[in-house]
Amino acid sequence: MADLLVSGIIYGSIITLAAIGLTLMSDILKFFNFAYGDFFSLGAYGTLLMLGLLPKWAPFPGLSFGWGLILGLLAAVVLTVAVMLLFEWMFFRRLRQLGVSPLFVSIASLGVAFVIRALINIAWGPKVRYYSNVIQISRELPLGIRITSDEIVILISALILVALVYLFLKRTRMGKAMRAASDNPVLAEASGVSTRGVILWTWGISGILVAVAGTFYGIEVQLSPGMGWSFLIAMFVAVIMGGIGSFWGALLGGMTIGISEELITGLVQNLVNSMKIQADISVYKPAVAFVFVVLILLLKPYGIFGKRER
Amino acid sequence: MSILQVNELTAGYGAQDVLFGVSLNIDFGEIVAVMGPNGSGKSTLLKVISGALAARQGEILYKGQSLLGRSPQQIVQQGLSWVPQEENIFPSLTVRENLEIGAHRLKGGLEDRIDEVCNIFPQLRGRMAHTAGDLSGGQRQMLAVARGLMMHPELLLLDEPTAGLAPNLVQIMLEKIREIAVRMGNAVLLVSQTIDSVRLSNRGYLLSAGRIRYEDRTESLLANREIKDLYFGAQTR
Repeated sequence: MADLLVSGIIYGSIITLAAIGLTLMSDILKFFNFAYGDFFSLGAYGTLLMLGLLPKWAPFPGLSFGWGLILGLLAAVVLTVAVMLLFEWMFFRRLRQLGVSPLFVSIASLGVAFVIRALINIAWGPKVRYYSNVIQISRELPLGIRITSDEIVILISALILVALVYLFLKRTRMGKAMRAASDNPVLAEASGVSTRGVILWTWGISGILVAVAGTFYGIEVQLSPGMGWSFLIAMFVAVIMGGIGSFWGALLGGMTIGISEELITGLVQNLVNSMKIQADISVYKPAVAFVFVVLILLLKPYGIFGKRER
Repeated sequence: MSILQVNELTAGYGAQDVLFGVSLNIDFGEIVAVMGPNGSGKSTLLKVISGALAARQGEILYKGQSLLGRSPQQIVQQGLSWVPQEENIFPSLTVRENLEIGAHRLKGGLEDRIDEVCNIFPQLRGRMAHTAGDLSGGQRQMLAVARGLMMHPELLLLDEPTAGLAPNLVQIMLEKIREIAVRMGNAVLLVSQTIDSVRLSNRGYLLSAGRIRYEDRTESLLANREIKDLYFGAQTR
């Protein structure tokens, strides 16, 4: 049980990273970006691409990766943000200028999702890939908890990144402008806030978060062209559960979904195993997320920390 | 000399025009009221002047320079600040953050400006860390006007600044507006339906169905029995 809880916290920290970016994007850009999951894959595959291009460094002691992955991740972040800004400039900006409704922009983002996934499929094929062949030995902790050094690094890095985003939103001039634009875009503009600047910063921050989250998922699980699409459900549920636009909501939603998916599917798996039934329950993780979103929408239609639509 | 000159302005939403050839002017340091019934286009007029809504025809000159085609950010930077009637604060930001956003384009002197604005609205001083959405109606309205003052505007566009306030708060807010005009030398274009707000002004325009019907010194406008009965009937009895 404690082991499942720790797995859930690690999985939840990856969901949280991505969900914070998605909640900012959904709130400020006013549409649901269905391509966000595929930007998650792009971040993960971008790191894989860079790993192949960079010299082969030895892994850090106890970890499955070395300098190659860290530098590859930084380059993948730049690549992901650049691709997102390119789509914003070529596509989403024009839809906004034409006054296309958010619903249609959301549907149009599905097209972007298919394009990115198709490109990943063409470049790397449908085969599952890994950053490293190094087999990690879990540390045995009290209460039957097993955790790898990679997972400790993922958890600490995710926490640091979440804290940095929080400080950015809370302390910096642009962070405050983004929060103001999320609250009341017309008044923000009338106060001198550049809507264009806010939009570009939103894409940029979301891009950083989703690329890092995708790479962390790649380290922890594996890479496949559909990884982001499957992960999108967990991200959206975290955003809806916490309330669109809420930083703390995304944090709470991400951790709740991560822990619940791991705990529930893990416990059911143990039950199934004890009954000697052959079944992989982990494939039903999205079902747990769906149950959560239905319950939340019924009980709190605007999410736990959500703002009522004006 | 006029700080603002609006000539033959036409504007609206979708296929519908709301303002039809509106012309008005405001001199430096003057308080001008635009009054009229609901739906007469008062708020639309302020939206167009502030750049939140595009004009379809006509001319808006601020200190002799055209505002047409300028973004709201450019307009606020030129010294013209708009305080809408509703949704005029950032509810999830703190009071201080609201003031900081009001000063988003200010180059230096933020602390001094916050201090100056808090001298006008001392009620805000002790609430800097409070979330703006948790303020009372009167405090919100004060914060809205305070935010509008942060960029040292020379012209303040106030849309129904006393709407929804308790009678004692209406008097306080009107005093504050007078103080802003007198002490800080701001010109104020005040949209209002209340006779007390109109009394505060030097001159007034009566807007009805998107057209200016009357224009005069405030005392002359209020002395006009027809206008008084038609637009402020219940308030004068």
